[in-house]
Amino acid sequence: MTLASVRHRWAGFLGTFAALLLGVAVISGSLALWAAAQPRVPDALAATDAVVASPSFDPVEGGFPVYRPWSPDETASLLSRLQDTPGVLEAVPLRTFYVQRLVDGQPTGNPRDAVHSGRAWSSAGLGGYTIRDGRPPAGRGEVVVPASAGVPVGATLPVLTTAGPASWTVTGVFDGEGFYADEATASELAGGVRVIGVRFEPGASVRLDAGAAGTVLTGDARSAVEPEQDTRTRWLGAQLIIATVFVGGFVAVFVVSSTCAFAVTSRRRELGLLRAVGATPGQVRRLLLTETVLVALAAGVPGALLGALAAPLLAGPFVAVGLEPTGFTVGVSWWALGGSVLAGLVVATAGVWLSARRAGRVSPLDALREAAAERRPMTRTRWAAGILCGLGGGGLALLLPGSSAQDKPTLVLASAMFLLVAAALLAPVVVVPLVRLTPAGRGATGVLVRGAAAVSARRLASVAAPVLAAVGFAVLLVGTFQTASEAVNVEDASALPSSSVAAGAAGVPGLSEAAVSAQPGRSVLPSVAYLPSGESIPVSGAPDFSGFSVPSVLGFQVGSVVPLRFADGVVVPLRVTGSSDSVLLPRDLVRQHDPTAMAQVVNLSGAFVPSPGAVAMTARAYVEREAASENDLVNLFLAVLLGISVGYTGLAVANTVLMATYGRRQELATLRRTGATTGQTARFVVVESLLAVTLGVLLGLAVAVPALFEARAGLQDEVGAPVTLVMPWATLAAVAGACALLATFASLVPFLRRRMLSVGARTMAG
Amino acid sequence: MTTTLQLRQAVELHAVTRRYGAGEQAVTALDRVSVGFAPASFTAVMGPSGSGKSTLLHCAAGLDQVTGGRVLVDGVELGPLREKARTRLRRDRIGFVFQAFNLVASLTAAQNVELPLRLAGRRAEPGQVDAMLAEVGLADRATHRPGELSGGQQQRVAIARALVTRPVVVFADEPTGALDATASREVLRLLRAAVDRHAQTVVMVTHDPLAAAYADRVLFLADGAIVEDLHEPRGAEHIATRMAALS
Repeated sequence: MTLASVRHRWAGFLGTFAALLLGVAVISGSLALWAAAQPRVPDALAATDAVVASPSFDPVEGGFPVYRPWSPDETASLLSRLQDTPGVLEAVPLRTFYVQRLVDGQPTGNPRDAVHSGRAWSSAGLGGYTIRDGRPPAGRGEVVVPASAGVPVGATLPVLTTAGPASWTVTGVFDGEGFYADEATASELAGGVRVIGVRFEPGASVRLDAGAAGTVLTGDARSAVEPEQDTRTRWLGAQLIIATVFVGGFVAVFVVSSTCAFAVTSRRRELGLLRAVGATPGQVRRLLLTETVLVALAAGVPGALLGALAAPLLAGPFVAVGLEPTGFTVGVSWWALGGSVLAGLVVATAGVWLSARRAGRVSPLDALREAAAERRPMTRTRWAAGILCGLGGGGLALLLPGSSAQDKPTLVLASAMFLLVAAALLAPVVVVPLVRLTPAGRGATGVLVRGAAAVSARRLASVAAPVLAAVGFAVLLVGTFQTASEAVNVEDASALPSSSVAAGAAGVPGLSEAAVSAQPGRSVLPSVAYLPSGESIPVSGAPDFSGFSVPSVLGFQVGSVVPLRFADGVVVPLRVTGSSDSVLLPRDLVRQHDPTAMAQVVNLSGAFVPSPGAVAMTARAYVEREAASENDLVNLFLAVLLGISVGYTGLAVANTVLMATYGRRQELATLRRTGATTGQTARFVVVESLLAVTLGVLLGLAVAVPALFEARAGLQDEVGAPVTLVMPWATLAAVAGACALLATFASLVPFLRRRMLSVGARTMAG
Repeated sequence: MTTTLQLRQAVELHAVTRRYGAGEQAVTALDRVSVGFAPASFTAVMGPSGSGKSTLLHCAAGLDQVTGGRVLVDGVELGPLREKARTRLRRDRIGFVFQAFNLVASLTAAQNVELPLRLAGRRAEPGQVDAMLAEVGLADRATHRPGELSGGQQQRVAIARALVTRPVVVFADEPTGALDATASREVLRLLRAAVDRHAQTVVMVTHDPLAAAYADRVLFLADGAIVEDLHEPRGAEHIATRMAALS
């Protein structure tokens, strides 16, 4: 019977079907990306039987574990201990460093990969690499390169390292990735050791024990030592995936529930009949639930496949924009497929739940009533739910001032979601006053629209709900991000004193030491150091500075001695000499202990001296470039989230309007027979739809604009300077226009099928 | 004991009052109406618009809550019953035929007839649905959907559905209101046959004297009260005259 109902009323389920199909496709694609985005064993360690990772520190506030480097002494003693273990073939430390090939003086390759693409030849065995042609590097400045680079043995290879440009000699080629240099060059350029790769003798069963000095990892667990950079990149990608699933899921529930609620209203008569002939409220409820579950299954399976097919196409773009590390590929994941179908079922059930309850309460007498007039636009449950959601959203908003910067965006979004639901629920209350405000005009359209809106406030509210969500999301998301990037500009420009700077060129991760020392001017060297607890702190090596200055939040008294571990693993006891915003150390000391550190910018005090990988620009242009690279990512986030929410709600607008117009064919037929021309009838329907769109836009703004002000207040606290509120007028106009266009089009579609009106007429007569 | 059983009415209303709204705007649709409907009888309820005839039917069928008084169907008092129990009682002991929109559009004629049994969690006995459809003359339309049937045919399917559970009483609310003369006659003939051949109890609300003429008894309502109780009416003209005298 349920199946018969779904088959018969497929048009009514089209909206739910499409919403679920898209929703499940989005979730399935995201899950496939997620499944593929798990940490991998780095290629350079692919041939190891085990790796030993240095002691890690888990930050109190969450986040990635930090591996602190071993000191040279610790490394040596651990190495000999491992090498003496029976069955161990070799135990080799993995030393990585920055190297980028120069072609015509320009650095090439992905800068994110370049920072760890250089390695010592001694560790080539850990990746399972052997020489294909030529010989291993022996003397200073000798290197083995991938055969794919197309550089012949014996050729000169111009490269850029943290020290500066150099000319290396290719002594051999191998099949794989990375630059394997001689020991002397590698130990000069590489920082501290955090990973030791271990290979066993064939067939040997080995019990490795690193003691307190490190953690032994085998099998897939070896992926824990992938480069920190890759972990961060993956984290960014994960943020987008999470946000996508979150917003996609919410909008899907929103659309499905408003579609279902509408379907229940328009099927009142049929449900009443079922109740009259003996269906219990529970049976009616189950009927609706089962129907939706069937639709969810029918939509979920193709949706999941669609998502799984689309996900691999996204792998390339994800790597290109820096949301996933190089080497990221997407395969088919069965749990992602199953999980997304299941998610579709949950979304559908959640969406239909309230409507099903309401359907169960339909009175058998409704089978006898003309369905045109609603008695009460607002039920007690609707009032209660609307007010509760409003209070929830308001409550979350109140938490904002006291929350951390990290939680703020989440809070704003969650609070806005609650408020959007509240606005959608309470929308019918606003319909009648709003309609009174619109001028009636002299024609029949005004009178008809006013009349219809007064008796079917709920229908108008159903059409307005998706518009409300689209406008609310668009204005809030775009407005928050644009306001935030405005704030970032304010912040960074104030930190840059001189007007002209030297910065890294487009394809490099930073400035080499040679590029910095060539310039007249001042430059800070950023690095990382480790407190005795293992916690990592960013440190800045400042020129013309002697001493050790720390932020007061770290809790060190001036005059106390702190044993600070540097990036090379060496622990140096330092006496605190003062306090500052960030940890300050002499630049030479930082350079001495961190050969991998790269300055980002030099504040020029004279003319720029050209150097590979460096370019001159104004301070303003530099800030804008940095903000722009961040904004590219933000814009991508925005495009994806807006695409999902607005695309979805567009679907819902079209669907609801179509259902509404189709469900009123009798009323429209009456209108026609009273003498209205097709044009007049069409105008009536279009004006009514546009009224609903206007209502949605107004309510969406009513939610989004105060939320934007909240977000701005939060930013001002953070930056400590006034921030201009950016109202995204263009986005608002585009979204509202698109909704209006869709609603108009959907209102007119039934008129294209003339048969509809004649069918209505026959029902009336027969 | 046997006498009480024989005397028990299929449906009894005791001083039933139904008011809509509250305060000054309150409308009394039924005013202390007491009436019984005997088993195997065909009663027509007539009256001008707003006289309370539909409300009487709804209250007697438990579709509408009474403001005062008691309603008994097959000896069971409806008032204290919860919604679920009330639905069960309706499903098992009451059949309905409405003016229009009687059928679930997505189901075939046979499925519509079987619906009350299905809702009760029962399967129709083999041939039961076909027999029911044959009785209303639609054996060849079992697999048609309502959209493929004429208005009269739809009403006949509705009658088959109302009778399939062998209910204690069938309530019909203007069953011929949307039909032409020929189709009306067929529908009324079927209701009459249900009473005569299967000892079914039928209560029908109508405003058409021609339809009321098929009944054994005609109740006239005005302003929420029974103003005349006419047994064995002598044809439609007789009824029309009485009605004219009342309004």
